Amino acid sequence: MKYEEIQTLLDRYWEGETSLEEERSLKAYFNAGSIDARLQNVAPLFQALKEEQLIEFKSKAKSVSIRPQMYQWAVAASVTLLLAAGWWIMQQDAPTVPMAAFPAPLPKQEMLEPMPDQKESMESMATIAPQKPIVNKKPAKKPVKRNTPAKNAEPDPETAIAMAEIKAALALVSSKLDKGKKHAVQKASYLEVVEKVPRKKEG
Amino acid sequence: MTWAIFHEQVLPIRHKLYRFALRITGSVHEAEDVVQEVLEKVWKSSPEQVNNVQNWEAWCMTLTRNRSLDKTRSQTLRRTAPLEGVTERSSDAFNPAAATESSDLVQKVKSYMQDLPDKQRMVMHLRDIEELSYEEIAEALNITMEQVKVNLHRARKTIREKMVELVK
Repeated sequence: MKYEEIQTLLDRYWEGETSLEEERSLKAYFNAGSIDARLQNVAPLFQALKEEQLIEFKSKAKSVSIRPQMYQWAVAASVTLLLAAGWWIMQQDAPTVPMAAFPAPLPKQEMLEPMPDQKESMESMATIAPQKPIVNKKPAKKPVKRNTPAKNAEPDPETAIAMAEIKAALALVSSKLDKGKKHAVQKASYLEVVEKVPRKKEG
Repeated sequence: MTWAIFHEQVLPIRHKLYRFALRITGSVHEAEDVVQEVLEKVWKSSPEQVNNVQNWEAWCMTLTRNRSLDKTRSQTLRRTAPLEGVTERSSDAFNPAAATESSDLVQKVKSYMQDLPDKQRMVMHLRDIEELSYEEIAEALNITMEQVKVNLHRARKTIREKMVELVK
């Protein structure tokens, strides 16, 4: 728009004679960037009006309730995970292996190392990721030895339920907490490794 | 009130109601409360009330104005006794500078608008920010078209004069 046109619109604006459409043109002109130097002093008004139009209402109910709900899920999932994992490990090892034969847990750094495909979904992680610790990481071989005594045992339905619970808990953790996702994925793949070893031997 | 009407006519204008409440109360928390209460009131309105509504936006704006003025009055009453003479704003006061990175001049203009007398401030807000027609503003504020025009003219004149002083 030319300077003269804007100036005419402005004069009418101050007098309260502009239509809504003309007022929108003024807002568009003064917020577009290339403002005539002679009109610079009026620009702040139309920029202020534009800014005010962008303010939005955010429902209190939403903003208050989302976070505690997230933490409740996270806490519930973590507790379930710990209990299920503890119970499952006891079931696997207690009857056959003496305490002295328990393998040392995976070194911490090993567990925290980012997996290359950690951003993939839980489903794909469950099937793809477990291969890596077995093939590439020495400490993962220890559970192989630990579980050999139980290799001929029929798969326990309770174990299957426990595994399902663990998976569900991990899925919850990863979906609710981005921060926890990395660790949850690694734990899931570790548990999958441990579970699959006897089956492989059987096959 | 049916969900369809509420969803199509009322919910989409909640941001407008909030900005209007914010303009009147000057407080983020008060404005949020006002909008929650207005939405609740509209949702609970009787079928007779629903049938009588011609313009949902104007009606909701009226409810918002009334509720906001009630809040402002009760707030003033609460504060005048113990805090007489204290002019500082409450901690939840709406602070546009914190929300945007606009220039000082833009912030000044916003404060000029906020300092206008109630009626001028409401008319200018509904026209220049919410882009309502004169008829809709008259209906929302329950005033005549002539009063709308007079108040809008005065409001813009004041802003213009202050901006001229600002540049000097």
